[in-house]
Amino acid sequence: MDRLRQQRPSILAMMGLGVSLMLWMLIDGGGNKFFTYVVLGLITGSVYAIAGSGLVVTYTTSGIFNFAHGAIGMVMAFMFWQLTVDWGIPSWLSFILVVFVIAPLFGALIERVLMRNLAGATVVTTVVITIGLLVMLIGVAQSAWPPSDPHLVEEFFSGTSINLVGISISGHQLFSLAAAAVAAAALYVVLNRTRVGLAMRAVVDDRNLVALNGARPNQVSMLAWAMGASLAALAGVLLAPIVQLEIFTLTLLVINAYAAAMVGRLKSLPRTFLGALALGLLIEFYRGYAPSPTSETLSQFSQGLSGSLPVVFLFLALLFLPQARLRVGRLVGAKAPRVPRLAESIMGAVMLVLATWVASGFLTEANQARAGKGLAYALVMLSLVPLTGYAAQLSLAQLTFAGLGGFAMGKFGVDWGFGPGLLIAAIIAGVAGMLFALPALRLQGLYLALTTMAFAVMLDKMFFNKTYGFGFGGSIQVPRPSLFKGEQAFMVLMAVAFGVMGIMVLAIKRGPFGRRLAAMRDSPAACATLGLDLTRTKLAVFALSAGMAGVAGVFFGAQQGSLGATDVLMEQGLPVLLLAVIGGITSVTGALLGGLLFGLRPLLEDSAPSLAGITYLVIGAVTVSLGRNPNGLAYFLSDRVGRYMPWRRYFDREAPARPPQAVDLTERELVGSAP
Amino acid sequence: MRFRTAALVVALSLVAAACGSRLSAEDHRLAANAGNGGGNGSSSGDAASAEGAVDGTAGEGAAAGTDTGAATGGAASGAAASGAKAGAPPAAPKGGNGGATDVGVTPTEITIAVLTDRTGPVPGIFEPSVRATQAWANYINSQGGIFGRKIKVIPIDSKTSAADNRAGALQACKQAFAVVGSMSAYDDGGAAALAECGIPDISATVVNPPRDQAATSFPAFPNLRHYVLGSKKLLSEQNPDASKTAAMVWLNASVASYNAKKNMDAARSIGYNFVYEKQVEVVEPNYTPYVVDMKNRNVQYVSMVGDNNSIARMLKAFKSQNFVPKVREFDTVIYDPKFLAQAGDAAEGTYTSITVTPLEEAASNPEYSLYLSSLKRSSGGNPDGFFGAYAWSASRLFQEALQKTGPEAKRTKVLDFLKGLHSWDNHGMHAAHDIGNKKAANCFVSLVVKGGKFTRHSPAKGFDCNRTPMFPPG
Repeated sequence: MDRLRQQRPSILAMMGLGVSLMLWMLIDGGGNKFFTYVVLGLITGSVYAIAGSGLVVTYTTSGIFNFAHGAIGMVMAFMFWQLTVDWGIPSWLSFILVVFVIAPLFGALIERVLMRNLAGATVVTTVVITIGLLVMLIGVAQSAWPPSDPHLVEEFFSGTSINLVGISISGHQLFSLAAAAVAAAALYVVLNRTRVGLAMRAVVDDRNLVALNGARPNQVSMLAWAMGASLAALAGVLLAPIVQLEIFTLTLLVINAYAAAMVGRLKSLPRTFLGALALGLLIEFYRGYAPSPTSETLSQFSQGLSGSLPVVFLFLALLFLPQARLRVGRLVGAKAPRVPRLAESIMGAVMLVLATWVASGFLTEANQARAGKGLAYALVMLSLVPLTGYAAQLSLAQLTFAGLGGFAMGKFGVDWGFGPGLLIAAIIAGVAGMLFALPALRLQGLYLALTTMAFAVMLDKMFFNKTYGFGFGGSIQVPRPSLFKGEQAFMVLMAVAFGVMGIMVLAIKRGPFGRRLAAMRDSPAACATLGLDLTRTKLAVFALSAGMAGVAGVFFGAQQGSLGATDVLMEQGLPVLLLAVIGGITSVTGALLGGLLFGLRPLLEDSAPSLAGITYLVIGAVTVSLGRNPNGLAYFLSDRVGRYMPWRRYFDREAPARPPQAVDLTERELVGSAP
Repeated sequence: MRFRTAALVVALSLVAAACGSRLSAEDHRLAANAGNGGGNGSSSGDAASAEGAVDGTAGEGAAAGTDTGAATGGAASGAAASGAKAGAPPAAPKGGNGGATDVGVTPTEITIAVLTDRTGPVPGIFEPSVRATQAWANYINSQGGIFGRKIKVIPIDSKTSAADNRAGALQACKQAFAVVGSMSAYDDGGAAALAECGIPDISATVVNPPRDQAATSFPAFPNLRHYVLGSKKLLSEQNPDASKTAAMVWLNASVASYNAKKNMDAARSIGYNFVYEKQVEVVEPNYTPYVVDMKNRNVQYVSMVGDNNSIARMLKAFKSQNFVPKVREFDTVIYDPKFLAQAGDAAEGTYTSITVTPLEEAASNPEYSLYLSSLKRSSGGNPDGFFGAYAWSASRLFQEALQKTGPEAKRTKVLDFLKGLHSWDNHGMHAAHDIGNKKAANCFVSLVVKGGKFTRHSPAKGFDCNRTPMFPPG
């Protein structure tokens, strides 16, 4: 009875959905068209249901939102191809081997090697690590199954079909529907009716308590990851014959399932399935019933919206989430990096500009252009320092804001000049950041990251590659200032921009706003108790970060000569985030180092072209091994090398007594685990 | 500890190679099909047999003295270089070749650059252009060079990025006499740099308008300015009702949207009526709803701007819904054995059109045979299709320019020659394009999939030219 009461919202929602469908059917006249779209919606929804359930299982049992879920499914789909096509094993046997043997073992391995060490880690760390895993698995697939070679797999029950309300449903689609239903039922039983399921859910709340009660949390957690990987493999193997074995398609398709998982608040399987079905129906009904606007602009917008429905759905699902609980304390992992004084940061900026000028003089014009790209990316990474490094708010939309900046310069900079264009770019991106942050302010950590991701995808599909955005061809010309047309001159200008923005960021860190950000990061609850306006602080840091990204976008576009819609895709931002973490997302130096890694890229690739093929693999591997320390390489350099610099002794001697460092409270958060 | 530090440095160095790679593989593939339906596809299922025949019938010398004008229906329009015979390259004159006459030129060598995407989301997709250009250079060098100068090829990787394309252009300006056989999805990046330094740029084809408009760019396949409508006209004549209920589907990627709109505008100009226009997502898992919509609207002509995998998925959805529109016509992106494998029997009856001699007929085309044999000798590879064929054509066009402008190799002379060249068919390998005006030939060969292979649909031989004006006219 209690269980029934717990599931009441899902049952009511299911009934509501059914009643809505019946009403629609009556309005529609009960025609065939309506049933057609219902059937199609259920088929579409079943794909999202399988993928979404895997995300929920992993999150419910480990507290980690696995951004690499789609990538695991993708690798397992390729493994299925390897077994069936390359090695000639019967497809039914390959299916069993992949879904029930290889994938679970792989999931268990991930848990043992990576995730077990993340117990109690911050959301930023878990997000970064799983994104790193995603990128690494893309690299694995690119190396093992080169995209230029064809990889084809046959549908299950190929050639069989049934007719329903005028449409033919293939045997493969029926198998997918059945698999979704069986997976849902099995998961529900395992998680809710078995001791091991209970232990799985308990592990995420308190591993130690579970251990005290006789369960073995490590094994339980490993089992949970094995189940998650198995579901990812199921989704991948079922999708592979439909979308074919394309690395990025298979990996990114699962993003659509995030919305379904979010309807279930990452914990409820029934709600996730309901969300998946609702999403499937929404998509198909929009296709079937949305009016076709006669205006070209509206038509483009409508078509963009059609493609964005899963992320719009995700955005809305996130907005309707309850207010996140405020945390009292947080795990203080690594020591915070030393913050330079004003004179020191000015000296650093001047040195950067001089070093850029001198070093670029040794480069050919072509290599100046290549290295300049690194500085442009460093500016984007710098915009993450106050937001993620100081305030621990994660954004996956920095390149989107950069795109808005580039757009502003492309539209206004030509007529009004570079300076005014730069200002307009900062304002437009900053205002967009603030407007976007407004509805997301209640959210924290993971939910905020997903909101930024939804925003980035929406702008990509509904703005950047439209004629009213970047224009036909999805590319906008971004001018350079007339005095800095040359490659070396523009590199120096970018170094100046980095220096100025770096000084500004460090000044913020030293000032009252920086202290507010640190306080908000360390304990939002304490801040609220002491009267700190969290809303204003979050709004301000979002606007600042977005504005900085807008300025970075101007330099990014001007460095290339143009900015394309593909330059600012959400997916493009993932390696940028990872490199910022590797460089050190908590410091200006880290952003610069992250950018410099870009600068090294062409030199390395040109000297060893074979390395280019494994770049995703390497970037992912390095991130998952270093991602726990957000101070990154910058801290390593500062700690091991910087202390020997003569001026450091001078500045350290002159520096006032350092304020007390954040207190390492415990090994875990004191209250709640609002993501 | 030292090991850890060393490992860290090595790992971070490797990481640097990763960034900037564009994740949108679709855009990359679609860029390859930018412009319109002209151009060749790639090696077909018959490739092996074609090459086998080549070995037996044509060698390097076979091309010498071959007449152009394989085209029927007036493909060749009678300008300067059309009808030229492809002979062995000229030897150095007695008085010398002028020595180091320009950037990248020495008395014994001419350096050219191939500015091509070699790495990125689909590594190696444009590698055929490098292989074809190198194959040409090896062939020329085996013949003693041009006016005593051998050809040195510098491949520059534009890394599927506008910024790297620009950097590569700057490098080429300093190191090479000309840019030849290039192919890049973001070729607009280097457009301004190439024009500013005045380097001749004979790309295989260009993708973005800024590159097409660059003063020094003269692609071997200039397909951006006009849409060749002949194939559509032919199919509408053969299926008059189908064009009145047409459908266009395209992927939600910027290049695809642009091409789809251009494609529809062109088709409307000859009477097509689109009753269904739909954009689909790149990661669309289910094409059935679109097929049901088309079926409900009684669509009888379908086209799609997308990569061959997406087109194959849509055709499979047609088949599973027992929906067979009278005409299914797609851009040359489907002229690829991968497409035939992906679509299977759902591809039967599908049309496409090309401006190059079909690979299946390569054995009977001496220039094509020369290309294939040179390629095999150079890299041991199989026929490389569209990019390779036009990169070979670009290289031969460069050869033509060098030979016609004499032993004193000058960038300005080559550019003047290209500006004045209004018919280039690469010795009968493809339809005759107007290089100087950057206008593709108004010619095509219509192909249809029959028995799992591409077969010639029309005309019976050569190219079908001037069936209807191009779009926009002029």
